Amino acid sequence: MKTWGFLFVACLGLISLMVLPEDGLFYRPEKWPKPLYNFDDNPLTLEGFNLGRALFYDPILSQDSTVSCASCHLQYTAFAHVDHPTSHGINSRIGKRNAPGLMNLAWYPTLHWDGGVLNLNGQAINPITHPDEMGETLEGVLKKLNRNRYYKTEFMKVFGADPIQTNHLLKALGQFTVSLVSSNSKYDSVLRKESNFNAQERRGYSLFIKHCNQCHTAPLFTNFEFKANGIGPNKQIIDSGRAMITGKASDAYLFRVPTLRNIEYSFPYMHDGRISKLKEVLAHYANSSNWQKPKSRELTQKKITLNVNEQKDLLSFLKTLSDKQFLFNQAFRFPRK
Amino acid sequence: MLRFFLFFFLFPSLAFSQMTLFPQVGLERFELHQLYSRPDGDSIRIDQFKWYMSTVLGEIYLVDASDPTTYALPFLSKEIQLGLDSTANTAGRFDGAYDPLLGMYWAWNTGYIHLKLVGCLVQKGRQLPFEYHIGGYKAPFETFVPITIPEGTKNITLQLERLFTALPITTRPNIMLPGVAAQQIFHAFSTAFE
Repeated sequence: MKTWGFLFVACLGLISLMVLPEDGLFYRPEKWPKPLYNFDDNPLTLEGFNLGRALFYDPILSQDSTVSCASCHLQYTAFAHVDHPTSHGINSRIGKRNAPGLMNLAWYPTLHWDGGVLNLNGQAINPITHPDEMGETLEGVLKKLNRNRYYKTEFMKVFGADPIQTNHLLKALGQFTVSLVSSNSKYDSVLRKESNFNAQERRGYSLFIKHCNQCHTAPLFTNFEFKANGIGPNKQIIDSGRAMITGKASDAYLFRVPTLRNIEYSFPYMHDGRISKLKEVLAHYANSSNWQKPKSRELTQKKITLNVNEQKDLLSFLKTLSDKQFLFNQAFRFPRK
Repeated sequence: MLRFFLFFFLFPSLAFSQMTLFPQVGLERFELHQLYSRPDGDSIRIDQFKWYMSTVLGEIYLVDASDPTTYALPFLSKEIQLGLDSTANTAGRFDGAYDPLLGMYWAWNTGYIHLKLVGCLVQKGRQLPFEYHIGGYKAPFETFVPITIPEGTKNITLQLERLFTALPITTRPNIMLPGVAAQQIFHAFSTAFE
């Protein structure tokens, strides 16, 4: 009988671990679609999550130990790269694209602005090995990790790994990044009937549903498709986007529709970070005569003119997508070992 | 399952090998870094030569000419394929034969290189380096074919001359993307199994 009581308490404990976002581990918010991440292949544990977090914040992953994942993905800006149009790597090298915010990655069918990466675990290989980012080799990282006492011990604990191999490294990082769930914005609490929009937010919400929701579809605020949003190709950086993955001319200059969650904090905007303020983004969309080619179907079908007040309303709605609990969650912070 | 794959990967010569590959150029046994003459009078040297083979059971295996012990195929199934299907390409696992450390993984456009062939064409004393990373699992540019092997076959001779002749080294010394040109090279390689 005593054992049952203990098991019951243990189960309660486990359940509370899973529901409480504060502890950092992945959870599936109510009414959200089924996540696509393969959790069976990489069962999450608190140790695994913490190991992934340590790696995420550790410049050991870069060739000269100067750049970590967090160099371009800062928590307070929803894991985007504040103030940098495109990402920075080792030796002050500069990449071609804006480091996107990291959140709700378990629901992404593909990753990167061009959707070239099909698997969250495998994504990390790109920044680690890209000469403009961490400029390291997988051999190099594994060699360093296998010489490091902390990592040797932790990888052994989490994966029984000796030596640490590629799949262990990628799974550990995956445990952390897949757990970056943001679902506690004001918008979410309104949906849960725990609070209410003010009048301006409400007006903004109707405008959003009318003009934006088709691509920035709730609850993830992206439909994960690749679109041309009328900003026109970048004149300095040659980047044909989705076409580089599919080889189709019709996909030239298409980029992923980004999520709008925490959009207030994840500036600058667009795949190349060319727009620094959110109200400038709204000004772009607010007048269809601004839009340059190429334009996706959603834009060619439309003529929009939003006046300044309407843009303000929309902006105030977008700010309800900010999730302070996520941005300041201690469990996602730089770890003190 | 995982251990199974690791076992095959680490100890190919110990596994239940039923078939062994014998790559040949004419009557000679093929070796890396050796010059072979082509019918057109040029010579060719191969420095890297690796390819994936798989079976209908989902077994995948990397053959690497720099380690001839990998010529012994450790497959349980006799229904063998050259290259990897889309399931293997998008499996999202990175252990054993799937490990990107093996130099066969395309990180930025998820998928595997099915055939890696790197070397040099020697033409009238000139050296023309070439590098072919051949892969693709999406229609219409798949590089993946079943190999028919007669019942009871133990030794599979690979005649590489046709492949060496078919390489478009002077016109396209580098191919790193799926497409028609990649498919042609892959096809030429698959005829070596006939």
